[in-house]
Amino acid sequence: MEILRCRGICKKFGGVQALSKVSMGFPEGEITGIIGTNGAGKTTLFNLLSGFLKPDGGKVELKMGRGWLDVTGKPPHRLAKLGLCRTFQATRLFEEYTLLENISLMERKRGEGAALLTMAKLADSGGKLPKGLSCYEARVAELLRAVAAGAALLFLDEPAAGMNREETEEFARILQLLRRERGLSVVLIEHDMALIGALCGKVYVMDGGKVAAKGGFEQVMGQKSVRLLLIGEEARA
Amino acid sequence: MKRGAAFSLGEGGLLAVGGLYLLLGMGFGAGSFGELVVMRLCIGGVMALGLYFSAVYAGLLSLGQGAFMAIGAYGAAVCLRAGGPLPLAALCGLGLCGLAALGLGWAVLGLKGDYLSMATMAFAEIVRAVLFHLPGLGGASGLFGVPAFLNGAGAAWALLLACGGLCLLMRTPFARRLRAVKNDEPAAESLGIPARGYKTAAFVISAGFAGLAGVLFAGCGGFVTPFDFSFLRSMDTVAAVVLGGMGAPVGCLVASAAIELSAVGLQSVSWVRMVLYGVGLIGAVRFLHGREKRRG
Repeated sequence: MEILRCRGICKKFGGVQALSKVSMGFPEGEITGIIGTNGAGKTTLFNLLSGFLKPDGGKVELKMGRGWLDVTGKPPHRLAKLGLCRTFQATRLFEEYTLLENISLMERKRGEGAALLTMAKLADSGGKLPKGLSCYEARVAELLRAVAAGAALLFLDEPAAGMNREETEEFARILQLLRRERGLSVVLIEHDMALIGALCGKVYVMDGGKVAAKGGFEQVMGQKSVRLLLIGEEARA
Repeated sequence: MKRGAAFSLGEGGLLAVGGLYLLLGMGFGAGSFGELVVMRLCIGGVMALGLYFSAVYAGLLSLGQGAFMAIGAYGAAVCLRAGGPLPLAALCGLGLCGLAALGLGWAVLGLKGDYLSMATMAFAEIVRAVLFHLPGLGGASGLFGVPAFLNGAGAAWALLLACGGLCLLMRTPFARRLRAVKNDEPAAESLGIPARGYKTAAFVISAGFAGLAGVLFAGCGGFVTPFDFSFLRSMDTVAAVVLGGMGAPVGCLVASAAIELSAVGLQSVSWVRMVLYGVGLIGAVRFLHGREKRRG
C-alpha cells in the first residue's frame, strides 16, 4: 500500500534536463531509500515532491483515505498540513529558538516536543540554541520537529552526513522507533550504504535524472550496472 | 519567550513607559507647549512600535511607514472635515491604510531584504505624489480646518493601547511562528506555516500602527499636509527602531522619544537632526546586511 506516488516527473533548468520521466511509489509505514551519485537529481526530486519546485510535467499523488489526492505543484505549507514534511541537506533550525522551542513550535499536541526529545535522549540539550548543537543533535532536532508537526511522510535529505558510526546507529534506532510507534513513512536520500541497507525495504537508484534501478537493497546492489555506477566495482563472476 | 509566562521584563517596561506618557499627558495643561510635545511623543511612539513588530518579528524593515501614516491621517481628516464622528474617521483612516498595505504587500513581499525596503521607499513617494496632486486633497496646502478631538491624555491612552496591543500580539502563536518565518522561511514552510500570508499579515499590522499614528495626527486638529509625511518621517521611525536596539520594544519607545525631543529642542540646529537620520540609515543598512550575512 503506497502513501505517495509520482508518475512521469520531468524538470528542466535552462538547458539541463534534471529529471526525466521519474516514476516512484513509496510504501506506507516503510523506509524507502533513494541512492545515486551526486548530480543524479535526488535533491531536485525531493524539492519537487515537497512543493519547493513545480514539475514541468508529471503528477504527484498522495493517498487520502481510499483514494488519491493530486498534490502536484502544491506549495510546501499545504503539503505539510497534509502530513508531508521534509528536512534539508544543510540543517535549517530556527536560530532564535532553543532546541526544545524548535521542536515544539508546530507541535500538534501540547508537550509532544518534550516527549520526543526525551525519547531521543536529548532532553538535557533542550535549552541550547542551534549554534551550540552538534551536527547529530541538529539533525535529530529537524527530524523531531517535523514529527511533532504531524508528519506522516517524511523526506530526509542525507541525514547521516557528518555523523559518526555511533550517531548514525542511534539515528537509525530513533527512525525505526518512530516508524513502529507512529506508522511514519520515510523516504531517505543517503550516501551511507550501511544505513540504507539497515533501514530500507525498497530502494531506488537514480542516475542522470532517471530511475536506473529499483527493488530490495540486496537485489539492487546485486546488479552489476548499479555497482559500477555507485562504487565502480567489477561484478564478480 | 515561554508560553503563558507572567509579565516579562520587556512587557513591564513597555507598559511602564506607556503609563509615564499617560501621567505626562494628563499633567500638562490644555493647549500648553508641554501637551503638544507629549502628543508628538505618543504619535512617534505608535509609529515606532508598529515598525518594531514587523522588523523584529517578520524581518521586514519598511522605509515607508510615513506613507501609511499619511493615508491614515488624510482618511481621518477628510471624514472629520465632512462632519463625521470620531469612530468613523478612525475606521476610514485605518481601513484605507489596511487596503493599501494589502495591495503593497501583495506586490512586494516576494522581495527580500534591501529590495523590499527600497520598494517601500518608492511606495512612500508614490503616496506623497498622489497627496500633492489628487483633486480634493488640497494639494501642497493640504487639508485645513480639521476639527481636533485629541488632547494629551487621549494621545497617551492611544499609545498605552498600542503598547498593550503589542504585548498581547507578541504572546500569540502567530507571532511565534512569524518569527520562525523570519529565521528560516523554507523551514517554516516545510512545517505548514504559510510564510507569504504571515508576512502580509505582519505588514498590514505594522501599517495599521502607522495608520493609527496618522489618525492621531489628524486628531491634533488644524492642518494635514503632504509635508508632514516626508521621507524624514519614515526615517524618524526607522532610526527609533534601529537605535532602540531591537531587543525589548520599550527601547524603540525611548529612542523615539529622544528623536522627537531632539527635533523639538534642536529646531534652530536642524543639522544635528540630519546627523541622527544619517545614523539611523546606516543602522538600517547594517541591520539588513547582518540578516543577509546570517542567512549565509
